[in-house]
Amino acid sequence: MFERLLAKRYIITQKRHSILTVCSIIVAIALMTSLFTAFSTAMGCIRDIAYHNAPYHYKIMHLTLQQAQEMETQFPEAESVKLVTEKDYTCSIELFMKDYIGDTREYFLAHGIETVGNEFFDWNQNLTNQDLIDLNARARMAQYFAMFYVLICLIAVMLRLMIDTAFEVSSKERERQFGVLQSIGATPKQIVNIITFEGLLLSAIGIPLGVLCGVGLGYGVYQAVLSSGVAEAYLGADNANLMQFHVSPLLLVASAITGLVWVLLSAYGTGMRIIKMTPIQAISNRSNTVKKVRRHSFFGLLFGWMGKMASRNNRRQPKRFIITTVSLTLSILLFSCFNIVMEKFENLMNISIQEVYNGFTCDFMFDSATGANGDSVDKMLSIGKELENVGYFKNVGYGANFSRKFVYPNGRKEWSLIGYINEAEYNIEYPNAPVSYDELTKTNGYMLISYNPTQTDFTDADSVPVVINDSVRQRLKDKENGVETPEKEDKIRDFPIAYRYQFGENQNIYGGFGYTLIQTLDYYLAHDSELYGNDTVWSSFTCDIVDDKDYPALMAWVENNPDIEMDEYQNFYLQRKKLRTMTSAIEIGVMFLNVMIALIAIVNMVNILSTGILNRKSELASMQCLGMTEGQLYGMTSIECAQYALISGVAASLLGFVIIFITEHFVELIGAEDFYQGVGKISYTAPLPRIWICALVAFAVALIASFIPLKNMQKESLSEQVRSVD
Amino acid sequence: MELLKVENLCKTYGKGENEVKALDNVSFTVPKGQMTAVIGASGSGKSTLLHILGGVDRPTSGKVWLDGQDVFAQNQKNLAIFRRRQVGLIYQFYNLIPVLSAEENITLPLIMDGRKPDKERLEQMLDLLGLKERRHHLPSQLSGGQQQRVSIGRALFTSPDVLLGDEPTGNLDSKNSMEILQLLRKSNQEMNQTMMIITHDENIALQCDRILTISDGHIVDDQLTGQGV
Repeated sequence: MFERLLAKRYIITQKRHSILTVCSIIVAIALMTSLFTAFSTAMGCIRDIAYHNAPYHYKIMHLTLQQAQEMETQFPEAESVKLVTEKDYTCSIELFMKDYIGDTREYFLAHGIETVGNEFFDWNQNLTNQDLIDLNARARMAQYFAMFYVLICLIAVMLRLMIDTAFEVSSKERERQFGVLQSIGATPKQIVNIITFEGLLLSAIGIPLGVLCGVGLGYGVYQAVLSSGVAEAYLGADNANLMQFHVSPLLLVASAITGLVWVLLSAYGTGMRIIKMTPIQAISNRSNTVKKVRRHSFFGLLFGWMGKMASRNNRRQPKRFIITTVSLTLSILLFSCFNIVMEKFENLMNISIQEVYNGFTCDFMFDSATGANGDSVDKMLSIGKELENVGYFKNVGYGANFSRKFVYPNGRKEWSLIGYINEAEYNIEYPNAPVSYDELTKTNGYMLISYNPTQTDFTDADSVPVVINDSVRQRLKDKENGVETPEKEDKIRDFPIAYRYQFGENQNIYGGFGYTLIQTLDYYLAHDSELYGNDTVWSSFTCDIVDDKDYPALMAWVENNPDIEMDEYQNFYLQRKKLRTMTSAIEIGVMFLNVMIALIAIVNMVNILSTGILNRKSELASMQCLGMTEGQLYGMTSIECAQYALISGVAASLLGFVIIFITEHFVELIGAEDFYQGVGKISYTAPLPRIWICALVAFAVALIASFIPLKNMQKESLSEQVRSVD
Repeated sequence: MELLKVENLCKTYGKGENEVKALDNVSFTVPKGQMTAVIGASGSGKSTLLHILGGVDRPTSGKVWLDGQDVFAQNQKNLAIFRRRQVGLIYQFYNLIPVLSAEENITLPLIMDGRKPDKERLEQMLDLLGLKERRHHLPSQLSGGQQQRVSIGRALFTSPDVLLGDEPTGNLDSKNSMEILQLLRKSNQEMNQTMMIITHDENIALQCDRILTISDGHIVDDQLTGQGV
């Protein structure tokens, strides 16, 4: 079979093209395999975490010992049945199933258990889904996989371009040879067979290597995520330890089959394109024939004759130029958009956490156990120090707050707050304060906090007059004790305003009005401790956990500490951790996708640029023969590279504007402007820095891709380069 | 007055057993305005000689002087400028730049040199080449003869010291070959243009002033044809 013989000979003799094609296949398959591996690892990770948190598929609870013992023998098809005695001395049965059980409800009804769905039955759905235990799990996993496969198919279109380009380049230079073959009697079918067989042979090398590289790449990313601490930071130490690398053989086969289909389609498509030409067209066709050029170009105006030539060179193969520019534009745009969306998503998450927990952005909030009726500042300080020194907490925030009436310029008196807070609290509450904690301590004045931008009461004032002579609490206490404290004349003291802090519209999540005067706790101790007489403070402390691993020990410490107390509504840690995990899982996924898309665009660009240079070897040498210097050659090539980056950058910027414009109008159209209250509007200029950084990276990569073949070409003499085609 | 001087020129390809001597101690001189044909069998070293004379390839040893200047004593950049200003090269397969029109191809060496083409001279050149109507056509839209005329225009437009032709008619039919030769002869006579042309065609060689015959890298014959003054 001469097709097979010729295909083999072409592969061996055209080493450069064979290597390029195999490399393209390897990269395409490797990228896809790594996506499949990421999917398996993510699914495996979800399973491991689900198993770690609850090592059973189903748990039947609130049983008596007798009921539990009877039930232990009721599930012979389960892999394990475990009897557990709970803290409240009731018994539970934990079931770990071996195989698919069909519909969960029906299965348990058949076993005489009617509690499915109520509080006495725990259905670990994350684990049943991952282990495909019931009907629902199969449907859910099929849904997940279908969604993932749609994504894969989208990426696959871009990946196929890589293989297509390689075949196109390889066959373009052999068009003459195919023309000669046809002229001596080869049928179109035989020509298509040669190229298809070549594709098959190259796949035999490329696909296994691609799958291996993909698994390697996936493992590399997994190790990087683990060792860089990203997994721990995002998922928490417990979950990060559970993260294992998973490879699904089924998905590897899917990847290999998809790759093979692409290669065969690309090879077949190339063959079909060649046989559309008559033999003489193929023989006389020069690979660099140009039929039409644009006489004037923007780059010509900008860079003179080099710009003009660069522009024309890039448009020689308009289809490839457009495909590469479009994929580059999309990857830049997606990268920037994902980035902004993720930033907004994080904001939204933070806001929702604050809203859920009434504005607290900490993991825990403690009260002083004796502070219900007010603590002394000394007591508050000692608890604060204890929390700071125990080692479990960071960002321990607390402060002495005193309620006093502020005298407004129109004579109105309103209850407000004077707060003396420690450094951690200061930095958390006022991250954009005009002055640091230490500087404020040294200032002989206060920072006036205004909660609403529309308030203008103290805009022009130098100080805030405050009634300081007695506390309401003291008078009420006296009254309770049957002592009538005589109404005293208001003693007003001016609190100088040294700085102002205005909550922005989006920051004031309380939506409240009013003012607060803030100074530091150090200032209070040095200057104001006598000002409030015997007034006590409500001691509450906010803090974050230092290390997730310490959570159980921390909780035990809190339970055994007589000075502080915390009810379940003050423990935000678990919920925040869950939200953090969710956000980070999405972030990692999006980041991975971003990298994938960017890689595809870059590989396409590298492919097209380097082969473009190699195809023009003789032409570039001719130009040097005519007197083009090396500097001019590299200059022209740089402009060609810049064109890709610039066009993609401009297109991505314009598309970015369009997307923001459409989003804004869509939000208005559906009347969801409240959304902006939380996250703020996206500025039209927000994507620009990201887009242009990406464009610069693309330019740098393009330069490398072009300069390497140019440098290699320069090793040959000009006459050898000129002869290379002739 | 000698314009081109070649002294003990050697060019070797490969090493050891694979060593091939393309040129072996070649020496000759060419006076200004002479049209020289270089003939010889395939692989005799004609193209190698021409490429070295044009500064496109470097000799293994020996020297080339053009207008008293040692060609290979220059660095890469100056060698490129030398090719741009002092040499005009014509190839068998034209080697035109496919993205440039006929007119742009002709003016390219001058533009690369940062100079503005003289419009009047360009018109004269296009007129001489018979390409006025085709000036905006791309190489792919021109016939072989027309493409070679563009290539000659490109080689002549900078008024180089020497014009080197590597089988300029080798890819053309006899009618086009004759036209191209007449064009070359015309510019040789009218502009006193020094030329060296590689050819396999004896008729073309006989129309030149001098014939150099090369065999196995040596000049085996050097004859004046009597065509020159």
